[in-house]
Amino acid sequence: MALLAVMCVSCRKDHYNTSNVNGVKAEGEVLLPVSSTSFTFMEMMQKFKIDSIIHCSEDGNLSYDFHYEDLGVINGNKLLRFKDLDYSERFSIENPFSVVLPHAFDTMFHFEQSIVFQADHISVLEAMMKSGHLDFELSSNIGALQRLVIRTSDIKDADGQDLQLDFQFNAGTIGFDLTDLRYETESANTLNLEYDLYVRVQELLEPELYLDMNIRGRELAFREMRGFVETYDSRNYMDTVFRLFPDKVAGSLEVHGAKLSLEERNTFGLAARMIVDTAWIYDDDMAPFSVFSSMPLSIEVPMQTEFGKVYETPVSGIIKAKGGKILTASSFIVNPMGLDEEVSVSDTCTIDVKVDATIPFAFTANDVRYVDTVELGHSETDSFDVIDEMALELTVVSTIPLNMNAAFYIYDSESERVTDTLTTGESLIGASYDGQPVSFTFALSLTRKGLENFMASDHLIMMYEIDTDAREVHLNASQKLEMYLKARVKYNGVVTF
Amino acid sequence: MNKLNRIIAVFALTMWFVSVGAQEVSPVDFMRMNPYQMKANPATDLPYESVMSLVVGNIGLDVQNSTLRYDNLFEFDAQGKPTTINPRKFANSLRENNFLGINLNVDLFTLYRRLNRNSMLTFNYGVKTQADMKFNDGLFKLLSYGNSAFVGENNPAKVDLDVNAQVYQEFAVGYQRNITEQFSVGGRAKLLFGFANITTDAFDAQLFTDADSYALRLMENVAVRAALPMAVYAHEGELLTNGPFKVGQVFRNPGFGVDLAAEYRFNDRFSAVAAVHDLGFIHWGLNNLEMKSKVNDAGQFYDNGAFLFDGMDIDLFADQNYLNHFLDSLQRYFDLSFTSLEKYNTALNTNLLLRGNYDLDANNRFSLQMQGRFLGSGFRPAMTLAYSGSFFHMLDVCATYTIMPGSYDNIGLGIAGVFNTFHIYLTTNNIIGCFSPLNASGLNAQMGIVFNLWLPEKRFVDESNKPEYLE
Repeated sequence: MALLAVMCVSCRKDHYNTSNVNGVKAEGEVLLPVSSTSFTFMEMMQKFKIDSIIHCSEDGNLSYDFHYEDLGVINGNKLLRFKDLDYSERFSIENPFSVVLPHAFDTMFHFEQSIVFQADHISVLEAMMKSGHLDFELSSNIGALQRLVIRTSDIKDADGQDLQLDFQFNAGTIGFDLTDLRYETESANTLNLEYDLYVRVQELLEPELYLDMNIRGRELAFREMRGFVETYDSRNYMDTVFRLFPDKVAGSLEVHGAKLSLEERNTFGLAARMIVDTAWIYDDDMAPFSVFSSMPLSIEVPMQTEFGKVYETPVSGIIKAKGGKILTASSFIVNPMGLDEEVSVSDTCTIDVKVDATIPFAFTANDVRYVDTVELGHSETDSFDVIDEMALELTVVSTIPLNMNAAFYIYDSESERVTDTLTTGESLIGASYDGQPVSFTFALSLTRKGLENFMASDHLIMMYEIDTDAREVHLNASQKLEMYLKARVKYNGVVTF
Repeated sequence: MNKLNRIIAVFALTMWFVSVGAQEVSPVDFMRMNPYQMKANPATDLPYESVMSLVVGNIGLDVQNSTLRYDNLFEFDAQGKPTTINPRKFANSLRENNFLGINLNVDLFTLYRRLNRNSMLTFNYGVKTQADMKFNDGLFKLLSYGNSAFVGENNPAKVDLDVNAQVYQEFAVGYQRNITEQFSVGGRAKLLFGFANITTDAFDAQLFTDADSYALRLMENVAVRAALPMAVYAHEGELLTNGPFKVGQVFRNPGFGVDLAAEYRFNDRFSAVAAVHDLGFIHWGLNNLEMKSKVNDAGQFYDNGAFLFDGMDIDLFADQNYLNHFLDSLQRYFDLSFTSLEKYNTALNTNLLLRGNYDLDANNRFSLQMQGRFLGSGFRPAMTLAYSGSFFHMLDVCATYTIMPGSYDNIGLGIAGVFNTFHIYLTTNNIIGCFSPLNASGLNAQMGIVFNLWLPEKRFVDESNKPEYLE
């Protein structure tokens, strides 16, 4: 019987010969949920990597916080210094007769000297020296210089004693360091010195005997001072960039309710003033507009050891969605009234400035466009040959108050051409102005030809045109977009193997 | 052999060895001079003093295939050559529930000895392989139509598979007795030793496709018990054997079964038989393994005991690393767990039989038989109309027609030569299947040589050719 079976099969061996079978007939329809995504507006900002500069209030309202800080627009250490000193003086006496003494003898000459230091804006009565160096260069025809004793009551050492220094002349120049010494004088910026000069005399041949003294002062700066500060001003510029949305977002936004505030700190112990004469927001392809309605703007900066708000103003205007540049020019003036009052100032005194701009996500958008490109990674398969049609259906549920007109293009970078479009007609994701979710469904269809184009291309370009129907909209962190993409794939063909 | 041929060969072998329940109706059951008719009717009064066979006494193979057909798998060209595989054609040819089965019986030793005029003692030792597989058409229709044919909460794509297979040795001691001239009884007590078993308690999966979102929800429940010839254990996800198979292990996994039958002869022409076969069990106590699988909570796609895929987050499409490992990551949801199982019992595929005979004369008999076999949780009935005839004291023939659910073309034939010292026979219950085995609902063959001992052996040899007890 088995033999009979084998014989029967053998008689129809072509019927049972499967060596020519080369494929599987595939015919059917598959339904697939391709993507299900939900993200809040805040999560969108995180995707844009700008969430760190966005402030979310307790009620979820979003604002863009621009913060700029300039510490030390005026520093005390620029004020508390004397100019370098180059001072020369000859002490001379007449020689009544020329003589060569049989024996050399030592004698002492006494001199007194008053030096006035130059300073731009300060008159110092008392100060603690932070740095400074005085060098003395002496030359004389009296004899051999042996020793110099310098005394001054204007400079005190750490023990409060008058400074007295005793130098032996081994070289032509002697000097000493003023660091950490105290300077006290009755006449501002003046230093009174007394010298005892010891010389060995043998020849007195010249008709005039003299002593030339050159004094050089370097790096004469104070830690703190008591005295008078004249009106002092400093020019300050700020040229910085603020980023809002990434470069993929183009267009402009008319912002509403933005605020700009200035906080300043003034530790000089003197009143100060800030005069802003330029404050522009601009961009390469955008005409600048002034942040302040009237220029120049004068802002008084009171004495305060902590930052305090000195100015606040609403700002409105049209800015680029991607952000822009801010340019300001201003003058800071210490003691603007020129008051002649004795004050104490240290080298750590500063005038610091903080600029804070809060731009709520409340704007009117008209021509904003978001374009992104996704690289397509196609797998090496010919299974797509059997696909008749791929119908994609995208459902978007939105509570975001933005109209988004979407278009998707397939792009081939090698031929540099758009090979197909996935959308047909209007693909509008409507705005939700009342916070209620609005749902939109639109179809993306790929025929076999379209699928071939898709497989032959390497990029998907997604473009969204965004507007607010000329309304002012407020964006909130909890507003969200839900997207559901599903596919209906019809296949009919032979998958060969 | 090309790849497809290998696939088909594997498929055919799977069909051959991983299915059926039980030997179905065989012409041997109706051949009155064949000693192995006692298998179906232990109460029958064999016309022999004694018979013996060794190794080749009874070799029976039976394959039942309710729906799988070679011709339904392919498209053919004008010359009848297969050109392409057509899954839809194949799926359409399936019924909602389908059945594949195989039964391979080999009687290695048989000895029947008549004790006296009214009783006979029998002994059999053989090896049985019984396997059956039931499956629905859900998986094939899902593959051929796509899930668009299974949309909505009440229309899931269902995959249901039920495999039960066992190999065991059978030592059977039987006794037949004619209580009266009209009434005979018989029975066999069978000591069994199981060799291997696989039993599916559950092998189900359901795929739901949401009509709106197309979200796919897959639920599965797999629970399979197996007793293996050698110790197998799971280690880090792999199954490893613990040493080689030892011959001594064939005598383990004990079981017990009985066959019982009664025959009543109303008159010279009418008689009836009632029998029950394979009423018993096997206790599997060694090298047992349990395989289970349910959807694991392996991440975002787990939902309340099910795998729920409602689309990927759009950001992940740009994550090439995630995409590369996406399919691997899905496997974590469907991990198979293997655990050792201490012991379990399986029932034999019990068979019930009712038969009515009409003897036209001493040489020609017509029979109508109703038979049903329990297969796991199912029941497989069959009805057979049979003719058996004996000619020239040496030729025994039989023709049968059997219908079973989904199988209506089972025309059987049997022929035997009865000689003084031996009896040789060859039968099939599906002659059509022999001509087109890959397109038939069944394939069956049973053959053997039985030797007659202690001559004279025939008991019915009066001149009228009537059985002795009819005198």
